[in-house]
Amino acid sequence: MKARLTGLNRSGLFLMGWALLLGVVSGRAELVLVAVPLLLQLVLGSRRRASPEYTLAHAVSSGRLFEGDRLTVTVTLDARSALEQIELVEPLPPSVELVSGRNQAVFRLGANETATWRYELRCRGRTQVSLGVLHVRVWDPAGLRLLETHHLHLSPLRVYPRVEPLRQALHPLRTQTTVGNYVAPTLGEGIEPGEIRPFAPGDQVRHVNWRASLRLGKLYVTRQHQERNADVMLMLDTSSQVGVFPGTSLDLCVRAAASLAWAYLSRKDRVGLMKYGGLLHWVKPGSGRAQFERLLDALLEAEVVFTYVAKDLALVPPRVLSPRSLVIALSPLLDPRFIKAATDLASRGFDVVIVSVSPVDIVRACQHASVLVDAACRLWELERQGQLADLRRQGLRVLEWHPDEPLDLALAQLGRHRRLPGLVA
Amino acid sequence: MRHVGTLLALVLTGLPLVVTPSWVLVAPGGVAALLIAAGLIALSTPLATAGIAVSLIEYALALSIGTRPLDPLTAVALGVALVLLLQVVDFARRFRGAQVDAAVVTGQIRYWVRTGILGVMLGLAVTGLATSVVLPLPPAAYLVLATAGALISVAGVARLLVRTEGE
Repeated sequence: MKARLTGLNRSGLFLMGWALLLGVVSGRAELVLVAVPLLLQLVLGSRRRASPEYTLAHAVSSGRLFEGDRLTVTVTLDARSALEQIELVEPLPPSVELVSGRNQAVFRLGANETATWRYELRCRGRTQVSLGVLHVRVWDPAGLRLLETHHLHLSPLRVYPRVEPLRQALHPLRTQTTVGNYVAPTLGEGIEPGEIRPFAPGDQVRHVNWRASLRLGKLYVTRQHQERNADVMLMLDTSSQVGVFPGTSLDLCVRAAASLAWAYLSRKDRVGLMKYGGLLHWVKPGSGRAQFERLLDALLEAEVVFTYVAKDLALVPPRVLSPRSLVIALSPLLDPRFIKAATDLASRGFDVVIVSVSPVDIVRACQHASVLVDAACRLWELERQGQLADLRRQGLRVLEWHPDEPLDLALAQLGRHRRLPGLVA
Repeated sequence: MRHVGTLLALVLTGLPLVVTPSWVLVAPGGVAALLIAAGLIALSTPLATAGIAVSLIEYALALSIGTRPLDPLTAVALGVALVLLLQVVDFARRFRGAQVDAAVVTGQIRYWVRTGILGVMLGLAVTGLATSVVLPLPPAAYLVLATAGALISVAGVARLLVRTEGE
């Protein structure tokens, strides 16, 4: 432990000298007597004290949470020698906030006594941090001398983006070959009735349509439409962002990606992720809970990396970006390189849907309301509407998402324009 | 803690007026009270120190314009109030925003009471010692002796603190 004197010594020494000086100048002994308690305090405070002996334990209630979740931090202090005043401080990262209790506590413990200190935190946004850096200061009661050190009891904390349940998700235009929830035009095993045709050798008896057979006097079988799944590739724009944590355009896109991933994985679809920005990073499509965790881990690390280099999506292997997959691009559409990449994909025949979070609303929420800000935002909004109209004219499906509205509402826009998925190719 | 500090500030700035009631003391007393109040509100030790330093000027003025004989008890009480005020402000500043265990406050109050009693006892002992010792020196030599004593005291404490810092 490192020992040092506090600023109170300087104050005490100054006042003592000042009282003595005034005493000498005024020739009054009372002022010298005023300095006596100060002298006593300074002399007593400079005494050397034994090094404190204690153990610290730090625990968090959970290391994996979602945005908005709460966690409890418990610190246990076990004193082996008497501690007059021991101060514990745990600095908090900006992504978490204190809900109850304090992250700074002071205790007085006798030898072999234990103190437990708890406080509750709320995770404001997705983050990946470590808690457990404890700064310890042992004060003497006069506050003149302190011993300080820090302890590392690192507890990694991963706060994943919040997942909003979606009542509807965009239906893909093309399906894959494995079993899923979408009714395909191809006939085979399934639930949805397709066609009735005369019995042929090899048909199973359980497929015989007895009502049609009795009416027509000949055996007929019912064929069903196959039920297939789809590949969904979530394309996240990490080239630019606006707004302040935890409500930046990237944070909103990450939340939307997590919600869409959960919605599609619940439907037995295969979901992949592609982060397009300064770095091109992807997670190949997969299904199941393990894939959801992989996607969340990748989304957790999503951040804007600035670069002048435009990444080429041709580098992405077909097993990651299958030609029959539905590509959902999540972007504020601020970087022309991302817009170009999405347009290129659409022109290569991919089923591309752009979900564009409105950067105008985000910026407006961050600024103090004024006539100038309002005029600038309205002009920007006009420009943006023009940009969206251009993209729609190029055949791209663009959904505008205002951050104050649920994602479901944005997805519902396409339900009116897109071909209904009763039978998908 | 702020209530205790306010009480001590009142003692510190009001006691000189009790010693010598005079309009001359209102100005330094007011400045001292303002500075100490600012120190208590902002929990700033330097501001409180400045206020205490001005209150010492007020006390020195009160003693200079007054004609009262030596009053060691008031002086020691003022010294103890000064030390306690400084410590109260610093304690509140140190643990501002912290969750302070009740035992810490109890222990601190006990320490302050102990220090206060010890300060009063030492002050009275010094007074007794000083009045009992009479040196056969000319009056001008007392001034030199007092100055030398003050300098040695300050230098001695400063040296002690520097040595402690280096350990």
